Amino acid sequence: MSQEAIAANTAEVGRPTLRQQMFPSVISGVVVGAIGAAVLSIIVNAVTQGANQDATVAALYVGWVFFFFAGIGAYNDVLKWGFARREPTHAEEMDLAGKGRGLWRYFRWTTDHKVVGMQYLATALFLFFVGSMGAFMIRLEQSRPGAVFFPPSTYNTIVGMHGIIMIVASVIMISGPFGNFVVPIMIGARDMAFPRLNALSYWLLFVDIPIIITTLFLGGFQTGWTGYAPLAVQELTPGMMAYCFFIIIFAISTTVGAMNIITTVLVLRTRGMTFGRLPIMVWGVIFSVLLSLAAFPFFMLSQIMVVMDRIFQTSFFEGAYGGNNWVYQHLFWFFGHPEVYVILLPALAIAAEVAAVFARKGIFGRRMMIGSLATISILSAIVWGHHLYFSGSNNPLDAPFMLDTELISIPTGVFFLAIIGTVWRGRIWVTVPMLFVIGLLINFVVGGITGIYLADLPTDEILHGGMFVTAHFHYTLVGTAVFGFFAGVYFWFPKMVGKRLNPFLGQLHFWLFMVGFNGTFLSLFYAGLIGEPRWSANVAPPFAVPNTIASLFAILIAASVFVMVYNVIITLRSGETAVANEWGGKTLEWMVPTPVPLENFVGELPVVTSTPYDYGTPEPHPSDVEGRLEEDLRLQPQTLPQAQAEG
Amino acid sequence: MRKHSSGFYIGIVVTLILGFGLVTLLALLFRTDVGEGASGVVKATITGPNTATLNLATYPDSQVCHADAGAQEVAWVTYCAGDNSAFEQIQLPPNSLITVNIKQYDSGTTLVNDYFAQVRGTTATLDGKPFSNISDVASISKNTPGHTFSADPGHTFTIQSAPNSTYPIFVSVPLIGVDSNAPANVNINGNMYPTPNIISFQFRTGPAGTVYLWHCYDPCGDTQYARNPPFGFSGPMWTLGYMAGTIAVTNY
Amino acid sequence: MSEANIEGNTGAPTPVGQEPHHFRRVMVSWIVISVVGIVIWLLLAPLILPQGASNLDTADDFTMVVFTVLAIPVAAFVFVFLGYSLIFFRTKDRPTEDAVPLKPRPGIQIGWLGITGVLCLFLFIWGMIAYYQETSAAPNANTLIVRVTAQQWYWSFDFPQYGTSSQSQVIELPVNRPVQFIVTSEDVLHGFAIRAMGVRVDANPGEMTTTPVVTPTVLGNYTVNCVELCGLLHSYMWESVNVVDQSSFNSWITSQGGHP
Repeated sequence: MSQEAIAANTAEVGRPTLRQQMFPSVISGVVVGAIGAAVLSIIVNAVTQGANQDATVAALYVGWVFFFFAGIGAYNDVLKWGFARREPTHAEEMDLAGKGRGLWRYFRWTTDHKVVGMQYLATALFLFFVGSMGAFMIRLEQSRPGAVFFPPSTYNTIVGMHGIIMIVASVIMISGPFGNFVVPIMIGARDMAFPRLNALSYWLLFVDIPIIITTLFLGGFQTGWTGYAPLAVQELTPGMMAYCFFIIIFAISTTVGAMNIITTVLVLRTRGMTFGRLPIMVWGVIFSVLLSLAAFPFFMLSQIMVVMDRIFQTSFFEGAYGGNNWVYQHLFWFFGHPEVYVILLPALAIAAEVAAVFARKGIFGRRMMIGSLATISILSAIVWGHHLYFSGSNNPLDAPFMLDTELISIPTGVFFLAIIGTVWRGRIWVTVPMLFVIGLLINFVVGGITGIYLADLPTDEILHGGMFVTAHFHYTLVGTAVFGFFAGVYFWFPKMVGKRLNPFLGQLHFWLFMVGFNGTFLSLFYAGLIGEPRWSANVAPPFAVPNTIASLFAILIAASVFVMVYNVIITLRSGETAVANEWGGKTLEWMVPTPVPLENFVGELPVVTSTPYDYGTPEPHPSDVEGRLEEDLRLQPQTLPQAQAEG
Repeated sequence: MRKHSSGFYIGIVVTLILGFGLVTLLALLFRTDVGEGASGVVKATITGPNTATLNLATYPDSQVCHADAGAQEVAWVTYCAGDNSAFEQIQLPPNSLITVNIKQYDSGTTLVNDYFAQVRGTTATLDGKPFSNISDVASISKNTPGHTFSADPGHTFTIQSAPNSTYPIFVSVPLIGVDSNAPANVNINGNMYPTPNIISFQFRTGPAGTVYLWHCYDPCGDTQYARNPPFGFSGPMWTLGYMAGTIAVTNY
Repeated sequence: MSEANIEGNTGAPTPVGQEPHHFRRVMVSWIVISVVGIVIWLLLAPLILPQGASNLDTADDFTMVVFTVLAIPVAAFVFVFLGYSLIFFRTKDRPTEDAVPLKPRPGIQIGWLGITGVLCLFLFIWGMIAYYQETSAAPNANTLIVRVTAQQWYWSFDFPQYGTSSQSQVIELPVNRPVQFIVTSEDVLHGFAIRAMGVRVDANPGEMTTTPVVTPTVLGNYTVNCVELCGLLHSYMWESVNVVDQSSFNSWITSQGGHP
């Protein structure tokens, strides 16, 4: 090696100036992206002579995305790789991972998985906040009969935005923050397999958010979150394009993220971390992202076809010209059903993880639970037709879909067995994360059972398309998955941020949310049972009472959201410092110091010799534990101060 | 439970107030609009203790009553009030016989659904001559030489009730179109239109407090979007104040 | 040994004979709560479920009652175990010891899979039989055929056997006579649903879809709603349905311009 090369290899990157911090950063990304969006849309508008608004809007979004990434410096690495004569040095990689960048690293193209995890957490909380504002608008409108507060077109847009923002938020809410921050540490890795793709997956989500906001300025969209053609193709206002592009970009983001997580877990597990010793959180995330890899391309494809129908007047979905609207429904639901399990599986995994820690007991039937997560994933890909029981297509298709959908309740039952067996005869410490797990279990019982009514043809015949469906999926997506998300937030916040969330506020958050949520959606179950259709801007008089009750309970949900916001703010400002192993957990993330060092493990990577669920075993138990533990990797709660001193 | 400072609890209350304030603010913002629709009220003129007259007009573009709308909306077909102001809501007195007169300036387009070829819920006249179906128009034309009608309606004026209405009203009248070759010889606020067809009909309102919708069921207008499946009930067809709106039966 | 798990963190173990029989307690509670729950449900169901106005709706209501009777013990199982654990196995604060892991018993897991499997199959078979019983009837000469055309945002009804269509937002149906709805759309997807009669099917542009043959059994007034989002006035699409006796139906048909 030449002298210059040696010098380059060993040189440290100097302390960055403010200008170096800001360019490239999200600021330059937004500026360049906006310029690119304007330029491209003006060009397309001129070429089409203003006649094709959809094309102009599409150009706006395409320009925004491509130029944003230029502005944030995403292409720099690609160009360097293409034209450079050497690999980046370790110091340069560390700089890219945010070393020495202080808080700015959260606003730049940073590859450190912990930074990406924090970015995802902040974004998920932001999206939930925005989505919940939409929910409160919906409950406001439905609190009294008649289209009282908003014109019906505005209401339809609010419903659609609430739906799609919440769906996107719940898809990323666990795999994003915890899949990125916690999972690599859990498997004993220093970072993810593709650090730059990690940054890409996050910034694709970031760049996506203004796209859906623009629908408010483009006339909104009338189709609700499912975006059914032919209504999606009919719209004259280009607001529908915002929805289509929101999905297309999001699908790319989740695909990139999924590939990254799968490769990381396959390849970067530390020595001794066999698949059999993987924490169940990792299994939940893996199955979820595998499922999303299979499902999201169909969502993306369906939206590309809608965009083509709109811009280029193709007729994928228009019967009069040879298309068929059932094609859209099949494409959409082939994605749509696995998608809800993409959302659910990591939440179930968190529940198991948290229950084990706070019952001080290994997960009961752990291997069966992993098997049940796998079975749910496989089955969920073949049940989509239950959304189409009454679409008018041919009856013989209904029977196999009904069978598969009923069968999913078997592995779901195994999940309940695992959690019940974990807490049974445990030493249960009811902390805020544990409260959310308990709430999750209660809500999941209701959500799962009401799913049976919808899965079965004779009962779906009176319930399809009504508020019963809405209440069911809120019980599973919100009551189960979002509760799991909050369990994860309160559980891992001390590790990720280094401060304790206030437990009093956490309990207040839980109780307000639990009571408000159940009150709201039990009322809506009843409304659906007596026949209220979905998407009712105008609530008809027979359904007025349950809707008013639901809206009153929704006030509690709103209060819970604000309490949580307050908790996060005061904790960030002046919260108590957390210890390294806040809860006495046994997974690897609790064995590293807080704040987590840049490369996760100081010195050598750990060697793992057992599962993290060997609570209470002075002797190795033949079927649960595979070996004696190394003392310095499995700390008892009493020895925490010692662990902190050892760093 | 650990004791917290009073500032802590005050902070909770302040956050709740700010949060609900934000919700209220958003509700007010969304109320004003998400980008489309005209507003305005037209009240039927009360002509007696239980009678009232409502005058409306339909135009092939929005120059008359939505001249200040965006470039796209100005080209839309629209309903205007009889005095050529914009409206979205019609107000009618309760328990009254309402006489509706519509000046129809627009040419005809074939109905998508023949159901609306029939006058329903009322009896109607075209330039004073009774008709009950668009097929009657042919015989009316022969009786008034020099004044031809289109075989198709330009629009329909259809009143329908909200679900579970206590006093359901259903009225649907096809508004016969002006012949497409008719000369544009009427000046309305500087815009030239052909001589309108006058369609009139009557119906009764019920008690105050009931709400109805008015909507056109003959898609027309912009050829790119409206005439092709899925039959463009978009653009003016789903924009309040153009081809759709509300009716409130109320005391005034 | 299990006493050490219980609230109080006391070090002294209880003599084996005095250890509470947790499992026995839970099972008894579960049975009692399930029975009580089922009784309450059977009493409340006629009040909660809207009265069925057709043969299909009555059958569907019955299915709902049966499924809920099965669901109550399932839900109670989870709630009782969870509640019991939270009461009796909870520690006041951070526990100082781990819990003792349960001995792995494959019997529990296999038994659980077996029971849930049987339940699933029962639900599936019941659903299949019930649904095919309801929908296997083919239209015959006596069946009233009603053609429904959905369009944004109105339902129009034709009675081709009588040569007339609905004149307003009210239609009438004769009681105890089978009727089948043939549904289509002029523009986008709509969902044709009569909750009280237990029929629904989507209206697709360019396609004719049909509901099963249904027989209204109870005189009264019911509504058609749109259950598939179709744009601005989706929640205003409705039709009033009066189920009347045959002679009133004939007079109504005549009043609409048809020939009974």
